[in-house]
Amino acid sequence: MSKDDKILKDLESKEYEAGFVTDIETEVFPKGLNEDIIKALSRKKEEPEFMLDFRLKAFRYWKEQEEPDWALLKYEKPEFQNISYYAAPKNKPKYNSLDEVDPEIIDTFNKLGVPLEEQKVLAGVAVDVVMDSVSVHTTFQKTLEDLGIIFCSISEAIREHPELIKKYLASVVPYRDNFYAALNSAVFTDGSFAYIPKGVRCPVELSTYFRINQANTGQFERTLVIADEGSYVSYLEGCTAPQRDENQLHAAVVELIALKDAEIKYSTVQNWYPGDKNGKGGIYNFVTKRGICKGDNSKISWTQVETGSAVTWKYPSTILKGNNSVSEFYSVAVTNNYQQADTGTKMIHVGKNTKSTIISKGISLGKSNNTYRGLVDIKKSATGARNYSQCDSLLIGDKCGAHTFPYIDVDNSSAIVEHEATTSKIAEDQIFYCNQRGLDTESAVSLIVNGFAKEVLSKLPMEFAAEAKKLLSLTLEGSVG
Amino acid sequence: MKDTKNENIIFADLYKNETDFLIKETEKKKYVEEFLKSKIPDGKKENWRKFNSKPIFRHKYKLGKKAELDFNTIKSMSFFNPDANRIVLINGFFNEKLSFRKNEEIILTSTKKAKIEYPEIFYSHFRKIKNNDKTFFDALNESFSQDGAFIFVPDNISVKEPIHILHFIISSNGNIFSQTENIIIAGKNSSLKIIHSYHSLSRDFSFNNGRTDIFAGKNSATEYYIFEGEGDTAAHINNINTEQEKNSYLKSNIVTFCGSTVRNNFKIKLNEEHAKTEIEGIYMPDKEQYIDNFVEISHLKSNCESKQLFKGVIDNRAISVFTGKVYVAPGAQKTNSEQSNKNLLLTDYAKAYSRPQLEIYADDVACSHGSTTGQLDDEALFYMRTRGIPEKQAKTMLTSAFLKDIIENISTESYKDYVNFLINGRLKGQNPETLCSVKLCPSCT
Repeated sequence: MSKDDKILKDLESKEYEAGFVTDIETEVFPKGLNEDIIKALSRKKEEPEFMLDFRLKAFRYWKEQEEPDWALLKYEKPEFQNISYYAAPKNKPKYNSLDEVDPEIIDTFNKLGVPLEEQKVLAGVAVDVVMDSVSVHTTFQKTLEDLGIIFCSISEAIREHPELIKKYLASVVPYRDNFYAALNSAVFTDGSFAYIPKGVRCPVELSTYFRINQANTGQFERTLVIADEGSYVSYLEGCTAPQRDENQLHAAVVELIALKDAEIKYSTVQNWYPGDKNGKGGIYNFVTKRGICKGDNSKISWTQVETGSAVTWKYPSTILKGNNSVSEFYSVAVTNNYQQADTGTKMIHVGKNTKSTIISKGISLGKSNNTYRGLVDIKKSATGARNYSQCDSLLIGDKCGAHTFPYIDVDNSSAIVEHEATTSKIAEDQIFYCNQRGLDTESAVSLIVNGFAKEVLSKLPMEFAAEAKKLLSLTLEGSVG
Repeated sequence: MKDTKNENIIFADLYKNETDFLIKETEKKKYVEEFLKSKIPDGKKENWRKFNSKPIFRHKYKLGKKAELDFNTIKSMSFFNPDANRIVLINGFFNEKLSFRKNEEIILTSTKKAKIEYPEIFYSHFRKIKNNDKTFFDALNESFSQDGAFIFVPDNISVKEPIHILHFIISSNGNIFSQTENIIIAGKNSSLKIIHSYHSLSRDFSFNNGRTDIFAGKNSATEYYIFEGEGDTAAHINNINTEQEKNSYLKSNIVTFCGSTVRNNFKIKLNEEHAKTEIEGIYMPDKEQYIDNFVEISHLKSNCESKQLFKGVIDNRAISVFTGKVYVAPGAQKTNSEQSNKNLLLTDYAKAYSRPQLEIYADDVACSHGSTTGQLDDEALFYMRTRGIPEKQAKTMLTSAFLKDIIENISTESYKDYVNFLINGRLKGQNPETLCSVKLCPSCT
């Protein structure tokens, strides 16, 4: 057992590897939030009138709301007036080639193992880099343009494609949806926008990297992905953040819209700074992600790997509105030290013969708490709807917690809904079996954890799977080879 | 909420002229103050999701009074055993004439009497189970409860025949509100069975806000069966709190048949090692009934075991809610817990809400939960029809097979037959109200 203890200790003491600060001059708004700040923000971003109206409406609604506290999370409530709501790298001009980009930014991504040049050439991934809040670089714009695909920052989309923004922004997550969605609607600074036209199969995986860079700057991203009839897109999002002592707030909103016969595959690897091993610092990640299968036969799949953040509050959900639409949710959430995660999904079945699958794997280490909270809601109109949910939790160490809170609401007699969950630790006989075959305990733990999460990891796109595995091994360092 | 008088004051007013409460006179002020501040739970409270109190508070109530009942009415109930121990409560009050004690060694009385006659036993158990999540209903009961059943089985005593607690609501005119506080104590190495049944003989609306505390002593074995059959015109909030000592075994079984709004709160605490609890439930809401089962099992020490199985058949526009929570405290290693909820929806208007929850703070545990909601298996139905069984009959057979495992676990034959009879009657389309009526039984139609 002493070896196990050592491994556990190693796991717990693993420091955050991606913690470093890039020093780029940034323009920061004064702390606090009021209508003037929002007006200034909107002006700064050269937004049309309707956006300002939207932001102000959201802000007025937000002011009247109370922060929700139903989640199984304990944290100090963020001081919303103590946050600066805008930070942008100062050198803002558009770049034509990589050479013009601030070398320090390039360096940041190199440290993270995201060499832009290489990716551009080798991986064929268009990367829309978000350093703090303003989009700096977009690659592969040309290839995408030829196909009619719009992939740009949301600020650009607001300026250049107001008709799409007017039609789709906040159509899935209205500003009244919840406290953080309202806050985000009022103050979001940037994010990504993608539109795939009718019948187009996006040839590359669209991807963005987020990174919180300015101390004390809450980041409010807004992502909108629209897949028009018969189109397909695979969208990747990954986050890493430098080491910080103060809690930082991250309240993003992601909206996906899949029209008739369209398919969106949304994958994310989240590795915000989780705080140190004493639970000090770390990011608050309060995210609203929701997609709608608007047309018949459409499909949305969510895949997420969550290893970071001090506090996570995140439920990527799908409204299955079109008949025969399909949604999938695959999640691996790993918590260590004092991390807390309350995460899961919502599948809202509205259309006929809609199907959803939920596979959730939670791994808790140290003194962390990992909660799965998921809703399966079969509305009256959802004749023939089908859901299968499975949530498994793995506990490593005896001071952590694993919780499962499924909500199953069924209003239609023809629907079939199944939920299964198990909670366990790595059994001694499993370790023993591996030992017998010549594997040391360390590799055995690694093997078992990998196997436990494999079902989800295998759903990630190739480029991402490698990174996800890397992150998993960072959290499980010492046991995963 | 009405702007003139809120429900707290309306209910406190009902007790204006009453004096005889279970709590001490000196504590009354504290309790009532707490009650007046308490809130009626609504859907916003996480543990009361989907709960709607409006059907309960739509009516005006008067307080249930002591009343008499003809012994023959009770005798006509099919699972009634005239030779067994029983406690009869009418409108929430103990009826000594109709109650009967067979075993001399046990205490079988009312809580009110126990308070005077056996103060030591009474006060060492009364309100000893702490509730950290008090709602309006808990506070209402704690402030104003006046009577109830009191059962004490001393150490090393085994009671073979089931003890029957019968609750009747009788009203001549007007809606009745009644409350009981029941205490059941199983001593060390004792064993007992209890059938706790609720009936209404009234056509008026009734509201029963009850509390039952069960103490399972070391090595004791208790079986606790609840039958809720108060008719369509009844609301029932039933709070069951249990505490189990080392090696104790408690089996609870609840059959909810009738009632317009029913909420059962089970709070089961496994306080010492090797305690085992099993809870099973059947609910068959029809029309616009609302049946809500909330179960919270707290594994506080290691090596305990718990099992939950709830099955529902939901008809018409009825709503069923199941919330099962398993809490495993830090250090409660080697916990074994199973949880399962299965719902069968018979119409497109029926609703089933299911929340099987696990909250686990220990690593060496085996906990699982499952939930399914759906309809009868088409293939099984087709198979039966190819064998010449008419569709309706095939459906009835499959539905009763669906509930069979729980019914089979009822160890008292006469009670099992009664539950079977009710289920079959319901599946054949008989009105649940007539089925639940006390006068009707297989032998006396």
